[in-house]
Amino acid sequence: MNLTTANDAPSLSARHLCVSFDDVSILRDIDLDFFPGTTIAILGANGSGKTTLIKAMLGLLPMHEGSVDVHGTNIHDFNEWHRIAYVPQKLINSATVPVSVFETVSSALVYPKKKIAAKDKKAVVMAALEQVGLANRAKDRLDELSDGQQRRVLLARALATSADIYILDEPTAGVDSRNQDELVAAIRGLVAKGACVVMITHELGPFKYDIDRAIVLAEGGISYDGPVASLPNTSESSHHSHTKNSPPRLLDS
Amino acid sequence: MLSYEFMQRALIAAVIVGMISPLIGVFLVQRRLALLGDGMGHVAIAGVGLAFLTGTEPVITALFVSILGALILELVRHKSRSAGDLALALIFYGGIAGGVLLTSLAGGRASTALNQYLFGSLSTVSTQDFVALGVSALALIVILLRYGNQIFAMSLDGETARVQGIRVTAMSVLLTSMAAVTVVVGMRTVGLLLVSAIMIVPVAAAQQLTHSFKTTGLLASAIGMLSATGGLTLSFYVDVPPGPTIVLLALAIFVVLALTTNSLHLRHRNEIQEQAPHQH
Repeated sequence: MNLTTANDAPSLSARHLCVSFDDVSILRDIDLDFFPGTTIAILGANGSGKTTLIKAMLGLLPMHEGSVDVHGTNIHDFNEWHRIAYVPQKLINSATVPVSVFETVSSALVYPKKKIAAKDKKAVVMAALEQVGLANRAKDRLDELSDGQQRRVLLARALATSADIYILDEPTAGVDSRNQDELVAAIRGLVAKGACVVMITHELGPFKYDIDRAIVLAEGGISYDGPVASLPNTSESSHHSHTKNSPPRLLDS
Repeated sequence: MLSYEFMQRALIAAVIVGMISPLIGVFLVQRRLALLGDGMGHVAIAGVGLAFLTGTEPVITALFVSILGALILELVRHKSRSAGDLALALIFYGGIAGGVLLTSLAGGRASTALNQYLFGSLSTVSTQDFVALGVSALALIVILLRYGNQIFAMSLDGETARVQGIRVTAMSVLLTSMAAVTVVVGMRTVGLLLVSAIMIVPVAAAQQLTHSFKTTGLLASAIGMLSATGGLTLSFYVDVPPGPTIVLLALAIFVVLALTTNSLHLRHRNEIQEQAPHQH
């Protein structure tokens, strides 16, 4: 596991990133580089700006100041969107008209400038569902699945893409420990292939051996950026003492 | 019934309206915009009133005015979600008030004619209307085939869709404009006041039975066609306006399906509960 990959160009970079809502500053002067082949955890108390940071870096929120580059291209000029996969905490409109698990995952393969044949799409979607252990639920309604299963479907949605940047917002929340292991293995596979995985998480537990770099946000800035082993105070005792069954909870939950 | 030329036209128009309206409606329901069609219907009333006053073709004028209304609405919605809700209400009131006022200014038989546009009419589907309807429906199908997947992804989750490079605002404008066109397609058969119902009620009925978005859309389309042709036939024999008959038939299908599926679910649950003690 590499903490720094000096030879690689960053997959995703932020320079002097500032985000404000109604004159209230949420993020101030953030400088970050995320490199390929690494797993990065973004940690911090509720309201510390974790989701704001990733949404700003994805171009979903306006920046007050600063810039974001994706694979060296300013995000406003970037157009290879199939190279980014985003897993939100939950889908906005999943419980109105029935939507099947298969449709949810295959919706990730809709790109304005890249057409994927239906046959290929089906194979890719089923392989992704297989990876998260839900291939047998492909035809079921998404809203009939438990929260943890829905979270796995959203991860399958990301796995179905051929992205090399994965932005995951709480990917394992509500997922039971047996299935967490499957998700960790899937994410490990992505990183092994050279992907850059950035995840917001409250629990390092399932990922504690896989995270190369932890970034802690506090009061709109970065209060820690380094290896997990040197993380400062956690809300409970040090993460070193935790077992798989009692994952460390960082700073707040 | 089919020996009358106007009924042949009206029936084909009903099939087209019944088929296409729920295919647009399913996206509106998914986006929680079930009442948008109503707003567009009210804007179209102003379009019809304007056509009476200026002596232009009502279908074409209503089409332009509705699309203009759709664009304004999307512009306001884009600025603020809550303002969008208010804008929809203002369009409701402005459309119907403007339509009635313009119609009365037009004088003559315009007020009687407006009634036919409000509730649909069997005998007034002209060849020109018919051509406009066919072309509009064809355009809607082509757009759905080309952009349906993107509109679906946008309707499911706009943020994730944006990260995929989908132009969410453009797709939203496209969907609202398609709703406006659907309203105009349906106004001669179902009428402007009820055309939104044929977009939404078949979707509500279909989703009682379905597990996926695609099957919901297709089943809703079938229910739409059944309601439109059945309602039109009933209105021919009973001599009532087609619009309310079509919508009430669609509602009846919804009620039957809702009651049937709910009682089936209840029975299934009871069976599971009865079996449960024996498993221990």
